[in-house]
Amino acid sequence: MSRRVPSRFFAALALASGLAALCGCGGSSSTATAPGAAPDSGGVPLDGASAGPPERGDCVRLVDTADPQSLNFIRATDRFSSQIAGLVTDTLVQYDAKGEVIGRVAESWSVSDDGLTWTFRIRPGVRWQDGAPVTSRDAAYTLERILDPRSRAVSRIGYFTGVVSVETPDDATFRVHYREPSVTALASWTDAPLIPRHLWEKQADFLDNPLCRAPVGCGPFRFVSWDAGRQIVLEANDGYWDGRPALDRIVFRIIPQDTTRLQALELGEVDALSLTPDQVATRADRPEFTRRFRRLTYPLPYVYYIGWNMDRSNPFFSDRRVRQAMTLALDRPGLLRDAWHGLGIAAASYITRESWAYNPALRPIPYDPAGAAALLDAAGWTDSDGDGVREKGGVPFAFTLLYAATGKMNDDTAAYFQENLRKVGVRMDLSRTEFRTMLDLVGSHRFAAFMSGLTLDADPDAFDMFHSSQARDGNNRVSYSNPEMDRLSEQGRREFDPARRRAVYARIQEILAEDQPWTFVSHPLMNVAIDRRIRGVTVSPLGLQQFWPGIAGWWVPRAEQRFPAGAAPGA
Amino acid sequence: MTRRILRRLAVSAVTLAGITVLTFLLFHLAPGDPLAPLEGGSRGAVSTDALARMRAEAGFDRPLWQQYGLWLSRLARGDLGRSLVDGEPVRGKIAARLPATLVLAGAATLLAWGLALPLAIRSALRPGGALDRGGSLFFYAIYSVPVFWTALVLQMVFAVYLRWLPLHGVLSDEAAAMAPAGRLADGALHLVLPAACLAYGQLAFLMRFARANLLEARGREFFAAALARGLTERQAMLRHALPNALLPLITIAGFTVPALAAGSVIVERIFSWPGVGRLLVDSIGSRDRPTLMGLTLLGALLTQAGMLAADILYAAADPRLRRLGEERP
Repeated sequence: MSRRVPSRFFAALALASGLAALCGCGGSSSTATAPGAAPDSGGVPLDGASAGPPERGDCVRLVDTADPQSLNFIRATDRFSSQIAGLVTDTLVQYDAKGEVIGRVAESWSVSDDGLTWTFRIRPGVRWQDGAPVTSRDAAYTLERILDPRSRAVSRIGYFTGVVSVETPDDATFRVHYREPSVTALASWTDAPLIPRHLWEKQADFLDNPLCRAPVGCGPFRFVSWDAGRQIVLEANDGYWDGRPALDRIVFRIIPQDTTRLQALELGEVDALSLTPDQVATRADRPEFTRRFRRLTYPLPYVYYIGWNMDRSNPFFSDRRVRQAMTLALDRPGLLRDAWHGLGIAAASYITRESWAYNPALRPIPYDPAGAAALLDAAGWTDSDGDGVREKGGVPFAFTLLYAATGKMNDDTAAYFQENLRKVGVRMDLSRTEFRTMLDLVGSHRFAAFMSGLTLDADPDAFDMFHSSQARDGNNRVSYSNPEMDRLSEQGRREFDPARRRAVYARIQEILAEDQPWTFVSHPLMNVAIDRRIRGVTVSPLGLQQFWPGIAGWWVPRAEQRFPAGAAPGA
Repeated sequence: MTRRILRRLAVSAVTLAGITVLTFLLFHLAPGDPLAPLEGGSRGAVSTDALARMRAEAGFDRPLWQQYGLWLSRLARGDLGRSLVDGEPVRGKIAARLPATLVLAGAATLLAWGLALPLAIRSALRPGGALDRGGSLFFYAIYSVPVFWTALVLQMVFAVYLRWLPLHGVLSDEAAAMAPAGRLADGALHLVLPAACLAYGQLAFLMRFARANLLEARGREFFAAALARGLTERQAMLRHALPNALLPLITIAGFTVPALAAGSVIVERIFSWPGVGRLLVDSIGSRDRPTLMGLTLLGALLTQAGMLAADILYAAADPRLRRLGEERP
C-alpha cells in the first residue's frame, strides 16, 4: 500500500526533491543496481557481500525540501512526515523488504471465517519511549483519531471507513469489526502509526498539542528536536523492543533548492540525495562523484498517465478508436529516451512489473503514427479541407491538455506529445496550471484531457480508479464505464484466493489495454546517490523506506564512521 | 506634529482593513481546496461525506462574509487562527520564522546603505570621475542580474571552490558546542552570502538615488555659500549637502520594506534560510489560508509601519515641516 499522498510527488520527482524520493516509494530490488555491481535480488542489502554484523555508531544526514506538515502522524498527509513516523513509532503490522506483511507491534493476528473480524495480539514488552507499555487501547485510540473528522486525517481515513467497531477485551487483544470482508484490510494497518493514548489525552486538543511538534512513539528512533526550516534530529531508542538500531543519530536537513542540495551532498553535508534527471546527466557520472557515492536506480510504484475525458463534454474521447489512436500517436519510448534521459520505464498498465498482479502477457503499446491515422480515419476524423487538422462534421480535432506546473519534466513531456499529435493531424493546446488548481479542474470534470501521476498501493485494487461509480468523487475522473470492469473491480476486492485474484487483475489489465481510458506513459525511475560508507541499504518494492527495517537497518563500519559518539550534528 | 501622525495612523488603519478584505477574497476565490486530499492511491480516497464533515468543522461551509467576520473578530483578540496544514496557531508559526527574516533583512539593509552612501558621496564629489563612471556602469550591470543567478555563482565561488563561507543555512553543526562569541561569528559568516544577495539590487538603486540628490544639493546656493565661507568641497558635502539629500532617502527607506520581503522569498529558498519567505511559499502551495492571511497582514503592517516611520522621521528631520505642523491650529 502506498502513502497516497504523493503530495507534490511528481513535482518532487521533477525537482528531484531530496529525500522525498528516498523515502516512501521505490521499486523492486530486482532492478536496483549499484554501478559496478551486479543487480541484487529481492530484499537483499545492496552491499550484501561486504556486510558483516552491523556495527553501532555514526550519524546519517538525509535531506528533504520543506518542513513536514506536522509531526502529528495521524493528521499529516506528506511523505516526509510519514517517513519520520516510520522511524519514531511503530505500526501493528508492516511490509518487509520483499513487500510481504509481517507483524511488528502485533505479534500475531487472525481473521474470522466470515472475513469480518480481525483480531490482533499485541506483543508483550513493547514500550512507549516514556516507559509506559503499549496496549490494545493505544491501537484503538489511534484508529479513533484517524476516523474523527476533527483530526482531518484525509490521507488515512479512506483506509478505515469500512470499520464498524473495535473491542479491547484486554491489554493484549485488539479486535476490529468490518462492514464487509476486504482483502486489503490487513495491509491498511501498515498505514496507521501508533500514538500513545496516555500522552495525547493529557490535552483536549488533538491538532494543537505539544506532541505535534515533539512526538513520542514506540519505534527504533526517538525524536530529539525539530528546528523549523532547518533540521529534524532523531536518536537511537535504546529501549526498542526489537533491539537498538545501529545508527546513533539521523539528521534530516531541510534544503528547498535542488542546486543547493546537490552542492551540500558534494560538500559532505548530507549523505544521500535523490537526483534530478539533469543532475544525473551532467554531474553524477563523474568518477569523483561515483567514488564517493553509490548510485541506486529503481522504479517507483507510480504511474504517469494521460486521462481522456469520456463524459461526452467533448466530441473526441468517448470513441474507443480515438483513445487507441491517441496512445499509438504518442511516442512514449522516444519521450523516455530523449526528454527523461532514460529515467522511466514504458508502462503497459497501471501496475508495475514488480507486482505479483502484473499481467506478463502485456506489452507496452508501440509508437505507431500510421496505425493512429488509420484508426482516426475509421472513426470519421479526416482532414478534408487540407489545413493539417482533422475534422468531423465541421468540428476540428483540437483540444487542450491540462497539466500541473510542477517542473521541467512535465513541460518537456507536454511539448513532446503536442508535436507527436500534430504529426497525425490533431491539435493539442497546452494548459499549464498550478498543482491544486489542476486538481480542482480535474475533480470537477472541467477538462478534455489531463496528464498526471498516481502513487500506487502495493495492492492492485482498481475500484477507485476504474469503477463507473467512482466517476463523481473517486479517482475515475475520466468517467470511464465498462460493465465488465465494474464487475471485476468489485470482485477483486472480495477475492481471498490468490490465484483467482491474480486472474481477476490479469483480465482487468487486458480490458484497460483495449479500452485505453488512460494512456499509460511511464513508471518513473528514482535515482539516488548515497554515501559509500553507509551499509545495510535495501531497496524494497516500496523504496528505501516504509518497510521494515528501512533506515533502521542502515549502519556504518566503525573504521569508516564520521561522527564519534557525542560529536554528531544536532547533538 | 501629533495631529499629522494621528491622521497618518488613521489612513494606515483604513489601508490595512482594505488589504485584509482584498486578500481574504483573493485567497477564498482562488481555485484549489485546502482540505482536498492530493490525488493518490486506489484505496485511500476520502469519502465525500467525510470531507464535507471536515469542511463544516473548519467553517468552510459558511458564507464568505461570515468567515471574514470570524477572522476579524479573532484578530481583534490577537488570534490569527489556526493553520489548516498542521492545526497550530498561525501566530506561533510566524513568530518562529520572523526573527530569521528580520536578521537577514536588517543585515541586507545595513550592507546596502553602508556601501551606497559613501560611494554616492565620493561619486558626487567627482561627478564624471573614474569612480562615478565605473561605479555607475557596475551597479547598473549588477542591478539587471537576477538574484537566483548571483546566488548560485556566489555559492559556487565562495562555498564550493574557495570554501571561505558556508553554502547555506543559519548555523554550522559545530555551533552548538561553541562559546557564545564563536556562535555569533558562525552566524555572521552564514549571513554574508544571503545578505549580499538581498542587498545588491537595492544597493544600485540607493547609490544612484543618493548621488542624484547630492548632486542637486551641490548645485544649490547654500553649497556655494558654504564654499565661500571657506569650507572644502568635502566639508560642504558632508555638513550641508548630505543632510539635505538625506530627506528624500528617508522616504525611500520606507518603501524598501516590500522589496526586501519579495527578495527574501527567493534568497531564503536558495540559502535554506528558515524565514517567513519560505513559510509563504509553502503556505501558498498548500492553500493554508489562515497562515496566508497572517503573513499578508504582517507584510502590510511592516510596509505601513515603514512608511509611517519614514513620514515621522521626515517631519522630524525637516525643520520646515516641523514648523508648519506647529503653526497649524
